[in-house]
Amino acid sequence: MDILTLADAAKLIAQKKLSPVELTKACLDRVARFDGDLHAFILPTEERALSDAKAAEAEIMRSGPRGPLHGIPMGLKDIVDTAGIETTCQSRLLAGNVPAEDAACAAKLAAAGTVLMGKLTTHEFADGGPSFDLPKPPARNPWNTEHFTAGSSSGTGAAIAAGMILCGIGTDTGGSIRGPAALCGIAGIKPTYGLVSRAGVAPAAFSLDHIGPMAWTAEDCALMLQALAGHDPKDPASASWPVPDYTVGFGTGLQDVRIGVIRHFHETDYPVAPAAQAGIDNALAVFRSMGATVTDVTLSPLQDWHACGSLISITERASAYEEWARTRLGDFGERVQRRLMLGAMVSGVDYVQAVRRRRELRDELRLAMADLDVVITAGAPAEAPKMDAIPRWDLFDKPNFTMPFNVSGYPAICVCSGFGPAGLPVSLQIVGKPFQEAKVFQVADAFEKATPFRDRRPAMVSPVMAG
Amino acid sequence: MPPPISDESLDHMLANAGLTLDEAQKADLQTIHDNLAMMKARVRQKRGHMAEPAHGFAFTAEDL
Repeated sequence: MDILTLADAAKLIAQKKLSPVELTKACLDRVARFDGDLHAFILPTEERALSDAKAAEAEIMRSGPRGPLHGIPMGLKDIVDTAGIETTCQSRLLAGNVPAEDAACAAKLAAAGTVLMGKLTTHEFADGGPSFDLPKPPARNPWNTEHFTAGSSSGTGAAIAAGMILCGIGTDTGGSIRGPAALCGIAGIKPTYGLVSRAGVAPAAFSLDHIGPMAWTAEDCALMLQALAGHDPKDPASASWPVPDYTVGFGTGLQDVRIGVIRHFHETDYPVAPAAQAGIDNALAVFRSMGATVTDVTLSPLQDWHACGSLISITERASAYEEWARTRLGDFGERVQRRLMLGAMVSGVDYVQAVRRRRELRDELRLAMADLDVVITAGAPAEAPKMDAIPRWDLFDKPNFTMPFNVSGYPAICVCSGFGPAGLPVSLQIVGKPFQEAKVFQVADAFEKATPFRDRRPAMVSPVMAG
Repeated sequence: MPPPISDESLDHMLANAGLTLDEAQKADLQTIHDNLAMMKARVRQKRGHMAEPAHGFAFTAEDL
């Protein structure tokens, strides 16, 4: 069976031309063939997947699908609680931890009729980097297994790119959805802060944490977000905001859409590789050709956003894991140990100054976007680096392009914008105003459908199509 | 460039945080002191007293 998008599979399932059981078996077959190399799964749940698929198929044959996610194989990052299924956060500290309840996002996807394929690889507690001293090996990039997936939603990115699942849950504190989306050549959106409940998901940094969809296309992410968004009193930061139709802008073109380019982020603050720059330039030409207006936007340097987010992240993480850091530091992997040690070096005053800076930066973005619908910049600086090229202290290596939108809380999606000289994907990041995900999806979907990049899969899973 | 962090200062910070590190871990932390200091400088701006943190504290109807 060809690898399908979520949207295409949903249409075929609704027409009763595609069996959820057969679709699930095709995905399980890819898990069996590829996961020995990719390590995208911490815990595959084959029996659960077949049971979910059979139940979905019976219900669909009886009364039609509940919605577009019914019968769709998906996976959950292993920091998402799953009732009765081990949830380890890829850490020795949680070995054998079996939650009693599903996280809110897991429950919503189950209610939508999805098929749970398993728990997906993550950096330990969604932090750190590719580590070889954790209970399971790090995920590898399906475009080239010597290369990094980015993280921390590393397994979700790898599993979707390899067609082992059609969609999955990622979490994003500084780019952990959008980084793997960028390096694995898929789509991943960090929604507006508070739009998707974090209840039942292990924290990384409270005020920067987001839960969101990852899938092959922006359209697939929109279908998934439709099921995930909404107020949840169990999440203290959950927003009470109406959930619109996220597909409303699809097929409407980009006439009169106002796009800003934060050019200095990716051209001078941290110049990206030529392939990434070409991807952005091409995207701007596509946007203009579709009727959008494009203007430059100037914000504070990328390094200011990165510093602000990093200091907040270091401190909030140290707070979340303080007790274990004091009593069981050696049970964490080395990378997380280093991150937790940093907490000792950031004072309370440093933290408050960072949170004051955060208000200034967010106001700056709000004013800059007053007459714009979206802004764009790079998703990642280049193609995926090799696994052994990730610095020990990666937090201090270079600023990333994703952190500004954790600091601001604005919705941001990464989509594939082409391929580099090594044949690995490069990406574009599209950022909207708070709760304006529909506009972000409109622009991202128009771009994907006007360009050929969604037709190409990694050679390991689709050797005929690649090249 | 900020002055390097002394062993005594680092030990004091670690004691406050309740962390027990070996000498190699302490040396590792000392290598990134400058990077962290640069980040701390970037979030300090000239600002007035009304430049409050991003997350304010306010009562809502639910508090009544």
